[in-house]
Amino acid sequence: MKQNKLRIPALLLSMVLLLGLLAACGGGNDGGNGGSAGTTPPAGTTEPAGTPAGDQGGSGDGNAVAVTEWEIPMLTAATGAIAYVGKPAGWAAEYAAQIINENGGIRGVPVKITVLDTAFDTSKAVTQMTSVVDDALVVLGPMDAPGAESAGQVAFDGGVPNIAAYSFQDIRDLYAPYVMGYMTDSEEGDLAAVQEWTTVNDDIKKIVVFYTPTDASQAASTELLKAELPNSGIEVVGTVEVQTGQLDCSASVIQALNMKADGYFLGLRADEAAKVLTELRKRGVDEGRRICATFASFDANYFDVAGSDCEDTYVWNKLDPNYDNPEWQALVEAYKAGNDGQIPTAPPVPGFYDAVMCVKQGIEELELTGAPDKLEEERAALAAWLYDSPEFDGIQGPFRWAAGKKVADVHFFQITGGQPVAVK
Amino acid sequence: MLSSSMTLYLIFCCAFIILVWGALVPFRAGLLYNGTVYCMAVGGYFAAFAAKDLGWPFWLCILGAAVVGAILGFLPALGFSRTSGIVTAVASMALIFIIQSVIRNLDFLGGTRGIRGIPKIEHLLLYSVILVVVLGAFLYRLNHSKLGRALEAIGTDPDMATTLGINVKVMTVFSLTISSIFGAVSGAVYAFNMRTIYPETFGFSLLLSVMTMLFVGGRYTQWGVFISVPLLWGLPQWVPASINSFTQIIYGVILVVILMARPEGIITRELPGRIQHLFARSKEKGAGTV
Repeated sequence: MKQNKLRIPALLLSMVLLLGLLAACGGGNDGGNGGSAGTTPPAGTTEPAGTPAGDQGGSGDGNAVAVTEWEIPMLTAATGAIAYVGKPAGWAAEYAAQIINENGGIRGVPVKITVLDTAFDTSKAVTQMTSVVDDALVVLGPMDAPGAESAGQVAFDGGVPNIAAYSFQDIRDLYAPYVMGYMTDSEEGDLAAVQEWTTVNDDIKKIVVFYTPTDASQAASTELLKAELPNSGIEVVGTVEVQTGQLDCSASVIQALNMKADGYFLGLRADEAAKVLTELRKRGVDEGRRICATFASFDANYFDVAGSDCEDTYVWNKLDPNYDNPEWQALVEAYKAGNDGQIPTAPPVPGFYDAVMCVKQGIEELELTGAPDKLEEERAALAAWLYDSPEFDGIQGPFRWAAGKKVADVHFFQITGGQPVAVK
Repeated sequence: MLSSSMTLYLIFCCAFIILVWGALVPFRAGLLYNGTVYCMAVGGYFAAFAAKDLGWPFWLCILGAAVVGAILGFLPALGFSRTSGIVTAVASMALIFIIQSVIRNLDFLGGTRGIRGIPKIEHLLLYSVILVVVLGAFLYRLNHSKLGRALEAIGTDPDMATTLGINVKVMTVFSLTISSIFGAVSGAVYAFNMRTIYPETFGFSLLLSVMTMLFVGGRYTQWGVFISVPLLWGLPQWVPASINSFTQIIYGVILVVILMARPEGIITRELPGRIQHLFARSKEKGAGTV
């Protein structure tokens, strides 16, 4: 009887041990798809034994490239609530790799982007980062701030440079010098945009800010606007919370209208911003110039849903879709070809394109080899080079990283004839 | 030597095994209790705060999380003891939204950005396995005790249970409090594994994942989680990157197929008994040949 009682705990322990054994077997497998290591992209595919060093980077040279392919993992939300920007982000990185390969690769070796889905889930972001951090020279993404802040700890612990959504300086300081933001800080952009908007419309002195409280960036922007705008003679008379996926925004809009403001700033994502804009116009805000939206609204969804209600309104973005640069125009054409004629409007597109190009430049200038035995020092060198970088010739104009913060121009538009026209 | 990604994965599995066990306890009493996820948030945040800001060691954080989880689970349980079935399910779901809103508005818990820089715990996998074994043994003893049989009687028919002298309200509060402790411990392990914690983690999608793990593994025994949790949590890791985008569809198909083929889940109520019987028979045969 006593033995019978012991059987179930024994079975439990056996299962735990079996699980561990299976896990150990899976973890050691570098090939195939049978385990997490199967999706682990190394810094580069190491040259097979017996293959001469070749002429890549100089034969017999200590700095000769030691890989046959540079593999760069890219973590993005390919599924989930923000897949509409996650997929373009992955596409942009792969497109950049394609351009690089067409022009001879990095130090004569092709580059491959391996896109891993984080599904806009912090635990999946950490899991994916952990699966690549041991072997990668550099990791791109996650492209969402919560994912980046979680996975950044893993990148920092592993000492791997990570270009991702590090949009707060305290995070960049915490994980320095291994993390770089792929785009400029949203809060500063919001402040600059509102200042510009109220300058070109000098009768707007009191504004209401719509924001999503669960979005850390939007919440921080709202706080910054409340703190800084009084210095420019602008008062934030109230804030209105709009939840992600909120179906009916009429109550939020009525709340805002009751605050008797001169202008309305939509610090929201595209879907919610379009609903609020439509309600505002329906409920008596006849002048479009009294409405300004943040960069996150700048999306095809926003223009499609809001339609003619967008007319005369303002919006800012971290990219200019009509930017006059042959490299950008070629990207737009390639994007249109693969996306039913749509043009790229999401900041991750130029952000990750530029990130791949910067990694290429870094590898070339620092003469990195990708050799497993030099991985630690090469990661550190690349991280230091990127964290306080030289100025790059980005696809949307020059930029650089200063203490991990991306410093670049932002763009301010007014919608005229259904099209965003650059104001400044 | 396990790779770091495999270690992370196994610790996640341990956290979710404990969490699903937390949901299983009230289920025995016929209650679909969603407050386990609420207590996971409580435990996770408590452990993160205690370890990072107060410098508490791991085991003290786990103990503290369990105590705080028990208290914050016990209080709403007093109210839920008056409800039953679907009412408990809906009402306890509100706890998740409440805790998310509370955390978002508490600056010392990091607000919307959560807590980062939770200290790294060496041998966390070992500690997590120990917690699984200890809590698993506790749950096994509970299920096979008078209290466990009382819970099952309530789950079968509360009125009949009352006629048998079982205090349904007390037993309901008891099961929900135990569930809360499991949830809080699971949250603490999760926080130490992630090393960052966000209010958005403890939302509806996590609840759905927990319920899927419970129903796929088997909602009448504690053993099903050893199959469903590694399978469902690990799915994004096992599938090739090229079909990673279809993970949610694969999840759905697994759930539908399992529930159609085996309504009680992979491990049914009878299965452990049959396996035990099989072991006994083979042993008898072995003894006979000597």
